[in-house]
Amino acid sequence: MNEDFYASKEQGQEYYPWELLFLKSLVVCVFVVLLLRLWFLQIAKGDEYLEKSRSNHISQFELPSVRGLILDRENRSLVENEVVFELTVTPKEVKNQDDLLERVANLTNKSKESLAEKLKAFEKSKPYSPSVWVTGLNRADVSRVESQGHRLPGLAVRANSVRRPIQGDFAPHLIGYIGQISKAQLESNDYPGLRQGDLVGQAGLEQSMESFLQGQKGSWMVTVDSNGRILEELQQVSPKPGHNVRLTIDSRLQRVSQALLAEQAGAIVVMDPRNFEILAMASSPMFNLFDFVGGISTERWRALNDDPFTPMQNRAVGGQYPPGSTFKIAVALTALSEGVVVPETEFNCAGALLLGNVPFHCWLKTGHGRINLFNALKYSCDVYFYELGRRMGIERLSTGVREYFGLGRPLGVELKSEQGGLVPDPAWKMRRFKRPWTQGDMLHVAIGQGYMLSTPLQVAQYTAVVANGGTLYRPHLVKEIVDYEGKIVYNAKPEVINKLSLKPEHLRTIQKGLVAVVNEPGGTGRRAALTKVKVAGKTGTSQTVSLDKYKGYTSANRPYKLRDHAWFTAYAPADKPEVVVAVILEHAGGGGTTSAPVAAKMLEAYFNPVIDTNLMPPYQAQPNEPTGWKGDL
Amino acid sequence: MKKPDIDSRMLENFSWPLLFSLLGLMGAGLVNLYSFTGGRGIVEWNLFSRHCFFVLTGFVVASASLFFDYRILKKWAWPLFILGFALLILVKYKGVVVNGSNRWLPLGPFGRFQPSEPVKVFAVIFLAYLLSIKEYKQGLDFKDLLLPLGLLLVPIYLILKQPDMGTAIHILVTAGPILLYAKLRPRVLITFLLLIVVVPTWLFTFGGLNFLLEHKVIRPYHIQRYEIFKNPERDPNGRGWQITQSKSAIGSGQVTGRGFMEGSQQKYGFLPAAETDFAFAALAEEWGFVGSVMVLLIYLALLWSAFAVVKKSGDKFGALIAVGVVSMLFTQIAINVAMVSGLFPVVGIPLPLISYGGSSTLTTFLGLGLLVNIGMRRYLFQDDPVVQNPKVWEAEPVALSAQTVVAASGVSLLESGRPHDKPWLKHLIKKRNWAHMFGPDRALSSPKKSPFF
Repeated sequence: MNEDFYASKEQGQEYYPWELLFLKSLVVCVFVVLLLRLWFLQIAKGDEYLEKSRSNHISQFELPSVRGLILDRENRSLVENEVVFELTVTPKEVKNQDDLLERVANLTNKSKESLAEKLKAFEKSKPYSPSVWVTGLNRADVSRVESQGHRLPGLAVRANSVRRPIQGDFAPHLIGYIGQISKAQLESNDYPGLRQGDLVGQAGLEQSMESFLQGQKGSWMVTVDSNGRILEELQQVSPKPGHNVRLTIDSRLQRVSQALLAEQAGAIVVMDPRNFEILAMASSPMFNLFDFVGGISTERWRALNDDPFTPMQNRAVGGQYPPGSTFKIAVALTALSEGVVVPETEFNCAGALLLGNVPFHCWLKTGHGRINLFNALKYSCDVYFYELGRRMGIERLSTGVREYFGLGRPLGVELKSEQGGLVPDPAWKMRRFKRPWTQGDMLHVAIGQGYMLSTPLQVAQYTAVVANGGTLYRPHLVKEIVDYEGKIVYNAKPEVINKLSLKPEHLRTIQKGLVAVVNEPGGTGRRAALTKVKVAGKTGTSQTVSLDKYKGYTSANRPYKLRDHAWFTAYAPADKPEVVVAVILEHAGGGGTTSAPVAAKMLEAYFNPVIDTNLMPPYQAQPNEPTGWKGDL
Repeated sequence: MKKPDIDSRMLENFSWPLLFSLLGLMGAGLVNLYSFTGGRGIVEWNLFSRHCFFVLTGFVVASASLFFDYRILKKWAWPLFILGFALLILVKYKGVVVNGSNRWLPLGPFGRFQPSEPVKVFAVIFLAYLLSIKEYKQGLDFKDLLLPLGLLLVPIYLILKQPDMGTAIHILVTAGPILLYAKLRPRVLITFLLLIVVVPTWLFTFGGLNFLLEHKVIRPYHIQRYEIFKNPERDPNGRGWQITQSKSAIGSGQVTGRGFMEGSQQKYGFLPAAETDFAFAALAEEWGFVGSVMVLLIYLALLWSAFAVVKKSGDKFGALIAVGVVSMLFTQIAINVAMVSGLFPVVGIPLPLISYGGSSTLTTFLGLGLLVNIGMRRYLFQDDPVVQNPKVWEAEPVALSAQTVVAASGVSLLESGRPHDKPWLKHLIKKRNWAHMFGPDRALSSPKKSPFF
């Protein structure tokens, strides 16, 4: 044996070479490091890794809720949740791939190659869980697939819902559309529980009623393996469908109002003066809601936004125009209740009012002579209202119209596009233009021109206040909200904003004046008269530009953009008002000639249920190129 | 071959701690593998029963080998080395290619066999033989190392070309302690130490990796694995998946583990290679810090009782083989556990006795059989083993205390009654002198003086 190997070994003493000691220390050191590592992973960071491991094998699926419907006042649905079917395939469950491809290609009229390509991709990414293979199947396709189901393992049909309006061109501004939630919306706290990619209302009632329509998402928690195969169900929370929103809109009147605006930019508001329910609200030009189903294409979106006629704007609540002579209703009522004049007060109209040496003309150059309030309304005498405004002063006028008719601010109709209009006053002018208020400004406001702006809805508001004897309610579109079990969640009660105490004879004077506008010889709105129902109304022609440059031209000879807006606002029956109609036709000329007949037809449709759009010319999405174009400015 | 001779002294020198550690690890491995297959259903029951078969075969083969004096391996060192070489050549031409590497020989119904595994043991025997035939009074010089290392590089090269970098590195690293224990001259030692410092520095900081890549010593996937090891989170779904999932599995075990058959990482297939290379992660997930530390302590006990064999072995050949086996096991344990816990790049090295795999299990048993064999036959070099050396393991308090911890926890797990109600358990816990159960207690008899010293 190798004696030297044990040379150092003496009796009773252990042979302990340093190499062995070194190796032992090395082993101990390494084991200490490993133990420390285990301590770090399992005890120091254990919770973190447990969470990671849990999220690995527990998957949570969202179960979408069914969006509530939007119904008209007769409970007819204006939108639907269309069920579309998708074919899903689980690659690992497929038995005979060629046979499956053959059959599915036959059933769905898709090419075999594209199907095979998709299947191959699924096989790689998610072999054990179903992936959507073919979309957009109808019921017939589905029944054909299901009849062969036993021969097609791995194949399944899944239903999905798509929000779709019943008619694309029915009240698009009111109904609105849905789209993917935007970043800003996610960051605001208005959409709790929603995530990126969720669909929310982006316009119209779909947007403003979102919280009611949305419903509550459900969830489905399962354990999965690393291949995504579902192993067991842990928890299921059923989704809650959204509420149905029933509107005050009358579909027939809505259709008629839209048809009346055909080929014409403008707006019509039909409202019940007794409770301010909006029966119809049309804005023209319109857009087609079908463009937004499943997401609008960029080109279409750009085209809609670049259109000079701004079809996306809801002019009925968002269009702000000078109210023109229709504003005289509000001015007259304010002046009477403020005691500035009495019905018998007469002023002399000599064709113009001189302020210093600047003449402020009446529309009738020859003048109306001595005239009282009744006749001033009937003939729409400007000089009478200049005088009225001068006596009343801007402060009293502006606070009066704000308080009595809710002008200058949105009253809260259920649309986000609602605008407040503008009731100017000296403080506003100073803020806006840094210039003091002048008497001239005052005179313009008194006849609804100048800085004064109101929306068609606001014109309908003050007409309705006159019609119902002085009460201002909140105009509204939503009649009630019903949950999916049929329980009423919300029921709209007329909400009084202001009640004007007027002497009956004052109110009667104005009402008689408005009746005379339509019914008496010499009235400006004679074309709005109906044979069976007594109509009361007021015309308005609001100028869009000062006339210096186009002094020689009539409105129809000016470029389209510079022609006058034509207003007509009316209520009927005159003695027991049920309906208010406000019409504006953009750049259409005089209110008495163009808007009054439209209002008449609208009123006629209200009183005669037989009238429907089948008797009217078809709707055209864009107004025609205006005739009589004289070139640009 | 001479007739196997059995001597009663062999039993006295039998390393019982080593056997118990071995049994403990076998048990842990089987439980772990059962959990793996149980979670997947009856289809993969096969895997568990096959592992049982391998373990049993390994145990029987190792036990049988104890009847032969290990010194006959001196005659077999060359033939075994040539056998290993032949097997590796055979793999090169007749091997089965799996996942792009050619490491296996097809074995019909037994699946496949990985020759590079037994080559590890052959290499240990071969190296021990070459370094023990001659006496080196001043230790080994460079010229003495030329032949052993040159010959060793042949199988290493063949394995590297399979490609199987893990096993190649493993054999190379295993050789280190053998050389060290064979005594190196100071200058050789210093050169080796310098190499250990310089080579990694060159590799990782001075573009050595790229140099090796250009000369096709390593493959792009090695670099990739190294990059992933540095930043597994950068690619958590691709190649970093393994290490991220493995860390999640270990960490989620926390203190007491998620419970037997409850480890979700392993059960639902998120932990890759949970039955082979990443078996320790699966174990750590189900048994937690307590379980994994216990397994590491049993490994430590195993190594410690193996060190006892090294220290007490009677001849240089035996001592060097024992060092080689210790080094082989230790490297494998350290690299594997470091790898699954994210301290070392992923190289395909299984954990001995815990990972599933026939070739690796049989190799481990071969090595352990050799250890016990060497430990048992040390009396051949002693005049009075009892006096010179009461019990192999008694000089190793660490191994014994580890055994006591394991046994104590076994008691607390198995029964809540008093230990002395169960005499056999009382022995395990209280009696440090376990041999007492197997024969007359000679350690207590008075020491005799040897006439030779």
